[in-house]
Formats: sequence, structure tokens, C-alpha cells
Amino acid sequence: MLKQELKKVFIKRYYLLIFFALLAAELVLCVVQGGKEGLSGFDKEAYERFVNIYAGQITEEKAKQLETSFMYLDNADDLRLFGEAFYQSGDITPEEFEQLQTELEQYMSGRTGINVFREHYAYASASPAREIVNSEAWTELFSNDAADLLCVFAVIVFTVSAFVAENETSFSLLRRTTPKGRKALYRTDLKLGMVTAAGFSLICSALRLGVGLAKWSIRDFGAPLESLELFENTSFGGSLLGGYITIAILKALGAAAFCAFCFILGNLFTSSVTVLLAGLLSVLLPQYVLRDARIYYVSPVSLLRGTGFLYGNVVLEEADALPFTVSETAGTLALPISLFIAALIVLCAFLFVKKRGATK
Amino acid sequence: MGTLFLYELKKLIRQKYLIFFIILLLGVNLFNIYLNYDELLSPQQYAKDGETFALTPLRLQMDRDFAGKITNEKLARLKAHRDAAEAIFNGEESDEPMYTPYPYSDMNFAGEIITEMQRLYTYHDTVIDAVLQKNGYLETQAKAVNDRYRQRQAELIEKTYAGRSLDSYYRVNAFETVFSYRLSALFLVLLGVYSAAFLFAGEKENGMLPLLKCTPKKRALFVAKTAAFFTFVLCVGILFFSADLLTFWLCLRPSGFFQTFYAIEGYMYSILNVNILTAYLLTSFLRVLGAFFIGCAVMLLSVLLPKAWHVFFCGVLLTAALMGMSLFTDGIFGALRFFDPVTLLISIRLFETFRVVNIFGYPVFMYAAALFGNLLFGSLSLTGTWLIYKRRRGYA
Repeated sequence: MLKQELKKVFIKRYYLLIFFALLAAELVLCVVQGGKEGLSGFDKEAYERFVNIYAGQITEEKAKQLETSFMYLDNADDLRLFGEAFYQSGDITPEEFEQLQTELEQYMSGRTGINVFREHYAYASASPAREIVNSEAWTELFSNDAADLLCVFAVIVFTVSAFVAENETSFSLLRRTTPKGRKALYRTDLKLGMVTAAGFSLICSALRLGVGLAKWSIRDFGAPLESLELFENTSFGGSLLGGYITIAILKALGAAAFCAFCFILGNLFTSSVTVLLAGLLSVLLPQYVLRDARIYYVSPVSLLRGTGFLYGNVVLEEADALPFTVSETAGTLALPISLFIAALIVLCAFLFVKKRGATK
Repeated sequence: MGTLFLYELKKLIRQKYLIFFIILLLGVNLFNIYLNYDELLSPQQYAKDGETFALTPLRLQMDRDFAGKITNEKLARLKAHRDAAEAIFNGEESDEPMYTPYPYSDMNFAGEIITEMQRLYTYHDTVIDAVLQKNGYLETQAKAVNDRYRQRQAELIEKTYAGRSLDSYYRVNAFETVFSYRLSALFLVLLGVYSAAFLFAGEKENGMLPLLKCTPKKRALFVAKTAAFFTFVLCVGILFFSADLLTFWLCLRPSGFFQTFYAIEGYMYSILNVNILTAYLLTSFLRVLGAFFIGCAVMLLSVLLPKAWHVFFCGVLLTAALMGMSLFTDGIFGALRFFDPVTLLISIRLFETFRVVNIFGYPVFMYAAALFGNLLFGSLSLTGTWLIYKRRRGYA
């Protein structure tokens, strides 16, 4: 049964093509988006140079070296004037002057990049648990807090191809007359859908990581997650790479749960276009309209977001709280509740199969 | 032809769950306005001496009392009120009745109203004179180098901005939020794409298309479908945008619907010379047109693709691509912006300030260029749809 379903969806309904087309679009988006952000006005080379020299734990020696460097940076203009004056009066040799010039040149041309590094360093030195990492690169990798719309599309189109479109050709009627057609076949479709959805999501995360590695030189996979300003309050004890993998897994789980949610929608609305619209809206509306974080984490698509769960205990203060909110500290409760709701959705999808046939 | 049009309209509206989605999106839209922009329906409460009160309605009362033509008498009264409030704030006594329990608020509100009134009655002297003066310099420069285009542009600026003046105080700045609100336009487009997907692909799925093509009313049917779709988008647009205006009015209570559009502080350089209500109708109509043209493109997809959900899927991707395209502002892609219906969808940006394009040496207002480009886009889509629709292969 599984083989037949695979063949039906992927080959006969051209889902394989759609899958790869959406992956290609995802790749293009990663490259284009990242490119735009990288040109946000700071010198990438200078920044990365500093990061590569000083990466890792902050030691006394490093701190002293950095202080000297920052002093150079702040007084670069004055130092250059002094250097010229000394050179004119013959106090320093031409070679020394050349050396001073080149060093100062480094600082002055890469000023923006070094200032960005300085901010990250200030954040990192505030706590012993933090290390110096390539913050810009990692923040870019982690800053997709929204549900990935292409992934959403891939899931909805799968649901429609595999399950909902048959209502329109009255094949679903035929299906229900067979002994395995009602429950077993439906559940096979559902399992296949969840695996495909999770697979798509994981491949997307891997693609993003690949694009990031190609753009930035990242060597510090093992640094603790707290080293990023994004995760200031996190209680997650793992490393950067561990954090990324955890988020990728959460997103994959979210995609699978979303697939189950689409199957429920497919049971409710038998028309495929309606399922498309309803699925799209169920992701877009909580995300762009009801931006209150607490409602969002309780909705069926919360897991698709991923990153937010590792933010840690952020106390949300709202003057006028809506009546159906969960609690004030979104951090600790959000993950278990979202997982629970996702599990509930999957259970519903498996258990409640539409009894009567879809006659148009 | 009339009956055909009515039938097509009925078919559009009778689509499964369409009414449900319209109501859902309308509800979400209004809820969103209430959630994010409300100041008066459930205002923030303050407490003093055991009583709670809200500041914004009291500010509203103050605005109402001083609304209308700006006169010296009103300004004098406001200044006296502000001074009295300051006196009470500093601990002295005063007979002047205060609007709010906090004298500091009265002081601030009176000061804000005075500043706003001053901005309004000096609009001609500060803004317009500055614009015309700078324009004069540019014009003489252009004449010196014999740049015909810049000369014409300077003349156009002169014609647009000369003679403007403002003389009344109303709560017009609240309108800025109303005009820059975009979510309802997005919902309109989604609904448009949803219904356009069924126009021809629905017939194919039902098997009606070959039958329809045999009838002598082929062309009339096509015209009827397009007209029905346009009416549908227009009606839903009217529903959404008037509900918007009503909800914004309830939440923010702007006043001065018949003031000139450039009275709004954020739009003081605007090229529109009409009153605010007309401006809202105009921008809403342009948004409806934008949604309609996107729908035309989806109609083209609808004749090409065999299934309705393919059409919807590609339609949404197309809309997303069009929105992405409108973000490019330079190079070859810049010229494509005028053919992009999304430019009409965000219609207020066309009127915010003086924007022209150079077409064969003549400065053309951007709204005219965008309108023309979009009409071209729409007619190309419709022509393409018609050509594909009428070819002999009757099936798919």
C-alpha cells in the first residue's frame, strides 16, 4: 500500500517536481535574503578577522589585547597625526612609520566591522558562560523566527495531492467501498505526509546551514548558546550547533504536526482550493495578525516557528491581557504546551476519519 | 447578456465556503485594527484619588471644543488655559475648569493643540513657500543649462503646490493610520485569487467547458465572467474598506472628513488636492483595481491549468512574486514596477509626495504612469485569456 501511495503522489501527481522546485526556491531565497542583510553597512572582513583571532573563551590575555586594539581604534586619527609629526621631526624611522601607517589603516578602514565586534565582545564579557563567536553569522542562521512559507506550501500541496483532490474526481467514494480504503489507506497517507513534511523541513534547515557556512567562516560550533545576544535568557545548556539542530528538529516536528492539521482540514472541507486557502490562512493569520506571542505558541502551527522556544524565560508584561492567554512567562511553558497540542492534532488526525463519503 | 452576467455573479458567490472566508477575514481584519490601533474603544485607565478615568476621551472633548476655523480668540483661550494649568501644576489656585484631573495633561494637551494650529495656519508660509522657492532656484538652473525636462517638472511643481493654505483645526492626524493600513488590501487580494481560480478551471473540472465552447455565446460568456469578477472584487472591496473606515473611526475618532488631504501632517507634501473622504474613496478604488488586475493574471492561469487548486497555488506564488518585485526600485526592474498591480494595491504611496517619471521628456505623475501600466498589464492578461479560451481544442 505504501509503495502505491508513494508512486501515486510523487510520480503521477508530479509531487516530486514540486518538492524539488520548492527546495530550489528555498535555496534562492536563502542566498538572496542573506546577501541583502550582509550589506547592512558593516565591514564583514574586518569583523571576521577579529573574530577568528579572538574566538573562544575570554582570557585575561585576550582581554588586554582587545583593550589595546580598541584604544588604537578610538585614537586612530590622533595617532596618525602624532606619527606624522614624529616622522617629520625625525624621531621615528621611515620603516617604523610605514608599520604604524599600515596598522592604523587596518583599523580605520574596518572601523564599522570592529565596532560591531566590540558590541558583541561587551555582551560576551558580561558573563563567564559566554564566549566570543561569529555572532553575526549565527544570528543570521537563527533569525528565522517565522514559519517557513515554502515549507507550508509543500505540506499543503502534498495533502491536496494525496488526499483531498480525490474528492473531486469521486474516487474517494470508490475508496471507501474497499476494505482498507477508509482507515488504513488514510493512515498510510497521513504517515507518508508527516515523513515528507519533516524531511522537507530538515532539508531546508540543512540548506540554510550550508548557505551560511559558504558565506561566513564559522569555526565555533561548540560554543555555548548563550554567547548570542538573541539567546540572552536561555536555559538551554547546549552548544550553538546543538541549538541549531534542536531547532531544526522542532521545526520538523512542527511540519509533521502541520501536515496532520491539513489532513483534518481536508476532512472538514472537501474542496481542494478551500483546503489550500484555509491552510495558508491558519499559518499567516496567527503570525502576521495576532502577534501576541502567547496566543501564537498555543496555535497548531507554533512548532513551525522553532527558534522562539530557546529564548528562555522572558517575562511579558501587557497592560491589557486577552482572556485566553496562557501565562506571563512564555518561556518554560511554551514548549511542553506546543508539543502537547501538536501531539493532540496528530492523534485527532489519526482517529477521526470522515465516516460518510464526499458526494458533491 | 444581462442574465448571463447575473448567473456568473451567482456562481462566483455560491462557491463553497466563500461567504465563510469573507466573514472570517473581515472579522480578523477588524479584530486586528482593534488590537493594534485602538485608543478610544477600550482606552488605558488611570487612577487618581480612588477614581479611574481615561485620558484619551478627555483629549477628544478638548479637540471638539476647539475644532473649526482657527481664530485669534481660540488661540488666546488655549493659551490662557495652558497658563492656568501650569499655575495649578505649580501649586497655585485657578478658577479655570480643567478637562482632566491632571493639570500636567491639560498643559500638554493645550500646548499640543496650539502647536498643531500654528502648523496649520503657517502651512502656506513654511511649507509651500519653501517648496516654491527651492523650485524657483531649480527652474532658473534648468533654464541655464536648457534642460527642458527639468523646466517642465518645475512648472508642474508650481502648478501643483501654488495657492495652498489651511485654516481649520480638526483631528486629522489620526487619518494617517487609516490610509497606511494594508492588511485589508492583502485579504482582498487573497479572496480575489480564490474566486478567480474557479472562473475557468472550475468549468474544466465540472466538464462544462467543452459544452460552453459549443454555444454561440462564447464571447458573451467571457465578458460576463470578467464583469462578474470585477463586480465581485468591487463589492468585497467596498465591504472591507468601509468596514475599515468605520472601525478606525470608532477606535481613533478622527474628525475633519472634508478637510483637504494635505492637512494631515504626514502627507503635507501630497499632490492630492481633494478632501480626505474623496481621497479615501480614490485610494480604495485604486486598491480594488490592483486586486482586479492580479485577478486577471490569475484568470490567465485559470485557462492554462487543468485543476483549480493548481491555479490557486500558482496564483498565490504569483502574488508573492509581484510583491517581491515591487520592492526593487532600480535598474531594469524599476520600470517593471508600473506594470505591477501591487503598486496600485499600496496606492497611498503614489500620492504621498511629488513623484514623477520621465516619459519622453515630459514629467508624468507616478499614479498616472502606474494606472496606465496596470491597464496594459490587465488588458494583456485578458487578451491572453481570451485567445487561449477561444482556441478550438475544447477540453483542457
